[in-house]
Amino acid sequence: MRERFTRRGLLGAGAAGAAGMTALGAAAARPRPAAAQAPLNALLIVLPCVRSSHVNAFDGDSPSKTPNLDDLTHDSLRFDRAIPESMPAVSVRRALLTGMRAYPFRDWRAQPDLPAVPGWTPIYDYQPLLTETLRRHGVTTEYITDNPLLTGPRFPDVRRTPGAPTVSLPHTPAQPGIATDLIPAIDRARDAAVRSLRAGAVALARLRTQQPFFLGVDGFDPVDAYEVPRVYVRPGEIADEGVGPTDGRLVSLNFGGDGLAAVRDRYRKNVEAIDDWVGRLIDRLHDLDLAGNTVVYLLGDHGISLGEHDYLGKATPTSHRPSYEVPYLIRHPEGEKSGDDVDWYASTQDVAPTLLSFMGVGVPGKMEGEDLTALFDDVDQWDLPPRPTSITAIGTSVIVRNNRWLMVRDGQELERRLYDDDEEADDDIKRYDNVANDEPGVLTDLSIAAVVAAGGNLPEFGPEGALRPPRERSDDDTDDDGIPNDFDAVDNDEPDDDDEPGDEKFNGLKAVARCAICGAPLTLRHAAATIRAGGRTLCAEHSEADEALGEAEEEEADPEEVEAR
Amino acid sequence: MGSLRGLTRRNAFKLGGLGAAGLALGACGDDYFDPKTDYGKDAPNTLLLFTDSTRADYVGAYNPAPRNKTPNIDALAKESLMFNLAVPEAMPTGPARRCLLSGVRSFPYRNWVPTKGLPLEPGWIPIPDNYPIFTEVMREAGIETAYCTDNPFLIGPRFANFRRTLDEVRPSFAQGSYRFLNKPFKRPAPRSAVERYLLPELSDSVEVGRLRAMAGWNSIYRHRENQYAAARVVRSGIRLIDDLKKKRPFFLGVDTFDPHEPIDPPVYYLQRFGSEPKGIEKEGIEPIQPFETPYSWSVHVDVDDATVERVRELYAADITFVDNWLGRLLNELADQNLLDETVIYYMSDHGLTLGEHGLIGKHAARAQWHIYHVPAMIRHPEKKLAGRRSDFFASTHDVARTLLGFMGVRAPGMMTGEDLSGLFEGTPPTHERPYFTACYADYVLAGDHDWFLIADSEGRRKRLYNKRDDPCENVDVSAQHPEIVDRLWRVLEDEAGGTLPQFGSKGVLGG
Repeated sequence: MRERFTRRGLLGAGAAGAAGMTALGAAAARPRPAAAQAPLNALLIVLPCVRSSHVNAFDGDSPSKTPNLDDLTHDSLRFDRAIPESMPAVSVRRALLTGMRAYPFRDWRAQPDLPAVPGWTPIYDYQPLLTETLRRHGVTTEYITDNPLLTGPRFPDVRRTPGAPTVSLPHTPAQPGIATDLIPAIDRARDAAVRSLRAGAVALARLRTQQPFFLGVDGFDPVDAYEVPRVYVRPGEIADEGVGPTDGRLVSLNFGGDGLAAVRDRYRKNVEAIDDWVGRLIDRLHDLDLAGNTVVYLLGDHGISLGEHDYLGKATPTSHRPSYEVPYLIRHPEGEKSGDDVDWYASTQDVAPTLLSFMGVGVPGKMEGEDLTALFDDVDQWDLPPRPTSITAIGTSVIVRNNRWLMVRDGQELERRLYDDDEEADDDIKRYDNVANDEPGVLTDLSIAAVVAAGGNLPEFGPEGALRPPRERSDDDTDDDGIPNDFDAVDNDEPDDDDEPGDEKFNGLKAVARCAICGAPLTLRHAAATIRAGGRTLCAEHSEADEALGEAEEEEADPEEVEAR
Repeated sequence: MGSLRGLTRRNAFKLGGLGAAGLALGACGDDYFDPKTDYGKDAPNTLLLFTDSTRADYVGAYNPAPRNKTPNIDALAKESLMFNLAVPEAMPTGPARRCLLSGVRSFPYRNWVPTKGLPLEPGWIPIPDNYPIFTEVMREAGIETAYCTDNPFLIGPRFANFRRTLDEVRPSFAQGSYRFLNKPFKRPAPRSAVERYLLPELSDSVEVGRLRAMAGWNSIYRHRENQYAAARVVRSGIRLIDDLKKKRPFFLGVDTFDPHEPIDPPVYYLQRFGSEPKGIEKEGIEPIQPFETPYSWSVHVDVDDATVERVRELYAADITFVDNWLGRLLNELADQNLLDETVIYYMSDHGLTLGEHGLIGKHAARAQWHIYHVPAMIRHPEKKLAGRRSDFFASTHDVARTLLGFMGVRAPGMMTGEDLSGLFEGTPPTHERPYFTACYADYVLAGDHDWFLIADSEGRRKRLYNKRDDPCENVDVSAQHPEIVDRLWRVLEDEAGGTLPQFGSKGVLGG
């Protein structure tokens, strides 16, 4: 029984009794720390560019040896299918710290000095911040990163690492190529991780005297803020799919053989180097006697494609699932749920609410992520709020997957590719055939999921930001009462004699029908009233309860017609 | 109070037994209908009082010199934390209810599609399947949930998914309902029976059918005050309290459609306004339905001031009538000794225009203080913060999260309101809300205590009002303060996720 999970005792219940109640049946209950209990610390570790397929504990076939990450994973609750909700580096940090989804980048507005790609935005003033919220509740916060976008009065706790490269603006990207661009980028990611993990170990010793604390160790290559990573494709293998409105993101490259082997080898070694420093940081946590009251939350920021299925580079619109999946784990201070694994699609936006909940701070309503501390209160993963699909955005591309299918939707071309990503299937080649034409139903379902997650529609982007469609309604207001004619009960319009289809507006005030007797134009609301009355569309003069009148007029009309004949 | 539930070791053991039983059942794979947990035996009950179309300035707690008396709401306010300026985040009835029940903002109606059985106006859709419903979350936590209402939409086919989440539903069809939406009642009164309610300009509108249904129903079922619509709802509520007190903790929602139009309170409540006929009443017409609903076309008032005055009196009397019955419900709660273990959350979904700007009715383009300013208050079981007032812009999307917070249940992340239960423990909302934002059909509203901006969602017709100097919002000062217009517009865009949607006849065009 953990006293930390006591109820707030709203009705003044005795602390012991309340604790007993909750521990026994607290699944849905939200934990709040008892005031007397020493609150927890939190350590957030973000590893740049690390794929879960290169961590042994996540993938038994991992090519790299990661003993330290494996040890940590075995002490932790593991999330097997975590994909960041948007990519790459800049938007990952935004979702991570705000708890709000950056998907579908509708709020992107072109920023000076930053690439004109959806997603490249700093954290906006109106967004809640994990660190700010914690500080307000008396938590010492420190965030170690070289992310140049985390500046200003809201980030007094950001520490830069010693030895970080300075990026001068405007940054001139390197020449495209494996040796000139990609391998240096992978190396920079490793260096950023090592720098921050080293600084994190130092910070831990300092923070030990300032508990409760939150320490973020976030390896971030500053170049990532100012440069969109290139995507390398094998010429002829991949159709020319745009990845974003920036020029030069997609580069054809005749890679293969030695070049590819060199990239993979370098990446493997880099992951091993990062693993080594993760081990040192966790060791420091134990040495300082903090492991027993510190939550460790570790995740990769995004994956990387290593030539599988003809893509190479960070944040590629590839169908290769392991290219996106990142290690994602939560180590409970008392080792609860250690070694368990969860298939639920946890993602970056869940980090902030979960850490706030662990530390007993109310979650700001704007944070959309789920509070995953529920899993440590014996809530089954299938009883968490349902998240049947995992949806992520890269520039203008959207990638949706469920437990079997994976769809890549290209925002510019409106092209959708669908892959049967059945993990049980052995035939790796078959898993990556585009079956969009064979499974239209699945394609529709996944597309709808993407649209629903975006709130109703997906944005279209121009060079400056999300676009709005042209107006459909007029702006006329003849009587100048502040209500446009289309919505004004007072009929300001000129008499409308033609039957243009455009007249049939939903507002109910344009003529949609004609009176069956005199032919006068009728508005929707007239029609609605009169259709009900007599089953015929009649104007005001000929309708309503005194149908007798209408019938009489009809009878009068009939003899005239006879006479006319 | 701590001993109220006898939180003893013995109880804890019992709970343990229940938990084990639950686990065993779960292992059998047969727990579909069982609550997921036994949590919450020590949680307070929650009572949600919701009245449709209630303007704050007709409630005594908000207006020191109101036209009418609302002694019961005022008494509740004295024991509650009141919100000075509560603005529903989406209006009118339908979108507000969707947000109320799901805790997910309806603003900015990006997911609107014209829906059969609901008014053809941006925002009117049922609760989408992927939305959480707070009663469902409560029920999974083992809390008994009940709701009684005569709201024609909540009892209609489009909110069936909400009713399925409840343990007890008490729908009331006393409003005659909207016949063309629900068709619960097939015996409308003849035209001649509603002639005395019809204003000349409504004599060929959809209101004829609505009034005929209402008059037809009421000719059969309404003889005494306790058979009026709001009274029926409250009586179901009182009966529900009787059942629910054995199943604590419970959630009860009492949601009356009154004082929504037709505004026909029992005659008794009109007596204080005198028996002299006024305005159009001299011609034998009672203006109980002074404008069209639910489409809310604004009707330019070409009737005389005396008629407008009469409409206001009718409305004021209707609120007093509802207040009287809310009082009976609260008395019942007190009689059952539930008052000191029940959180009471009272709110409304929108107001209406009664002669302001020369209009009667509800129109999106004129959704100003008389429409967006509603009463809202929370009564803590221990009367914490009683009589205090908060400047926080409480809104409909906070209700779900707050009720869950009081009951100690985790809210799903999609619920983006603030948990206001923290206010009672001295912790302000964890993120400030410097502005309120709302939408009504295709109009968007933003403001704070000083300024108010209304514009259509395409960004045209931006009108700005200085609420300090011009509380009645009569003078548009957008030309003098373009920077404030831009700031509030940016607030709206940010709140909508970056851009505001644009609406066409077939739904959302984009944006």
